[in-house]
Amino acid sequence: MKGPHPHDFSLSLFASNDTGWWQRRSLTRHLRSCGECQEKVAQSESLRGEMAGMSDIPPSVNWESLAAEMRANIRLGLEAGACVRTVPVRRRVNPRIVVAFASLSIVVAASFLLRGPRVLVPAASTVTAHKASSIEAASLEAAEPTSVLEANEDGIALRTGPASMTLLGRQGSTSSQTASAEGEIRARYVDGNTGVVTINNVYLQ
Amino acid sequence: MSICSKLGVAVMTLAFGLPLGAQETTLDPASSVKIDLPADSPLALISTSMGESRATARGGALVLDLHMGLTLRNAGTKRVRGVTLLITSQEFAPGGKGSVARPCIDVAPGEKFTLPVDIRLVRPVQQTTGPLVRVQLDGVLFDDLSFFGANKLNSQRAMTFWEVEAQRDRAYFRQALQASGESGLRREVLASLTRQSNQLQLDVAVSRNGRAVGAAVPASDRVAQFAFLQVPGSPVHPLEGWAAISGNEARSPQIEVLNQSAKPVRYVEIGWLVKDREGHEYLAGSVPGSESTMLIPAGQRTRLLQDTALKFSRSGKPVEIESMTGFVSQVEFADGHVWVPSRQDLAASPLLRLMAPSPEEQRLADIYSKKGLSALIAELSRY
Repeated sequence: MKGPHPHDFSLSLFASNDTGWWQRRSLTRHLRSCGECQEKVAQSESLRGEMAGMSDIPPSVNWESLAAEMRANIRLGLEAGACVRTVPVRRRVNPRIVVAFASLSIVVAASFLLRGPRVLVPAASTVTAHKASSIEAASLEAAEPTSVLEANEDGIALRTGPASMTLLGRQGSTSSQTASAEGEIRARYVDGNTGVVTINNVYLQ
Repeated sequence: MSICSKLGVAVMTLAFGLPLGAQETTLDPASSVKIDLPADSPLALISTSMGESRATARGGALVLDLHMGLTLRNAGTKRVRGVTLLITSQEFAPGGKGSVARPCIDVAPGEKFTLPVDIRLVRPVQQTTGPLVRVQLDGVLFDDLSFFGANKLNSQRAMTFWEVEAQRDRAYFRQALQASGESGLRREVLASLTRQSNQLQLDVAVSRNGRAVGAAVPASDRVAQFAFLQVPGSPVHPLEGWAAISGNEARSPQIEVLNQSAKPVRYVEIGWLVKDREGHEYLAGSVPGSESTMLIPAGQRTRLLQDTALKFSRSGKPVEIESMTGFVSQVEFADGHVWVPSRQDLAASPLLRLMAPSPEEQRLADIYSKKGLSALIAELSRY
């Protein structure tokens, strides 16, 4: 048997198949290993069967006295409720549910925190936030470019609308190229015949 | 067609002798190219050839192919180690500019050399006034690392870095020859050629103000952090950095660096590696410091900010960016001295495998592959 016994009321609801999915799953797990509760459930089911077998109410029932007795019981119940109304109700919390919710919260929090670089560098969070915001600002301010610089098979081209200026590559030379974030592309050519190096640069305005 | 447009076509036709029905014509160097050398230039212009330069009408566009050869003479008293020419074409690329540089040379006083300039200009047919292309001398670097020139393109810095790297790599190969003989030199050069052939090349498109052409609105942007490779002897350390990533596009890179040297620094460049989703790593480019904001006192930090977008592709296919790595590749101090990683620093890290070789290392390896070991040894003994 694992954990405390469930309330008899819960077992009765279980027997009548009136519990929710989660509670039913929890009770089923308890009942697998608790003979005492299994017996209570069996009793409830038996009683439920007997009740279903009662076809009729006995004719000798005195409805007036029964109604008076029910009113008295209700009054008694209300008075008893008034006595305990100010007492805080302590609910029993299933520790497994607490652990499950805590784990779920950690997973959700971790996924939120790990989704962006700002929390990857908590020591520099201020700087990071500033950088990120300035990058975003630069993005927002970005307008359609008037010029673009690109390296292609011909060389390095600066295009502005339909006009362009291309510094052409050296035929028959080995080449390599690098770009600078300052707005520049550089191509280097080594002439196989003369051994001389030529470096072409094109700059954005 | 408006009256202005008709007038423009007429002017252009007169200027180039290019009747509208004709396909192409040869260019007149005198009217199409203007070459400016300052009066006190240590280089004298001997001649200009225009080779196969042509103007061609294609549909509604004018295409100019300029193939110039500028023959210059060292008219100074020092040996020339590098030259940079500034190329502008206000008619075709307003505000844009290019440069043609010749590093890794050793031109004695009185000697001549030829610098090729090959340009293609395209624009709709309309009025053309003045020269199409202007060529100016931006800088000359001498063997004592002194400099002459207008330096509009910061060519002094670029050529100084190339020259310092050249000295480093020439010394390295000479040392390999002295320590291990011809077989040792061959081994080192073959290793260099292997690294060069293994390095994957990216095609890059760059635009300002955030987005490369053809990119959609950034619905899937994310802010990605740089990882950093620490170069042992670097006077500047990268601390943290970010860029906005959207597919194959990286925008607005920002890197914070710390000057841990005892001298103020006026320029830092961070090499930029990107890794795609298949795990291939590429040298994508660099993040340099902005000219206006750069002067890092000793022990202080600053941010390298660039508001550009770089779009990467390979063989016409987008290269999706998975992660980024940065490393300090160049530092210039306020006194003009420069720092580049030593060969030991490079060998002790993945940088030797990932970084592009210096222009001089590429040139020396090319001499070996084209002319053999004896030609390389002769070249190393020149200076």
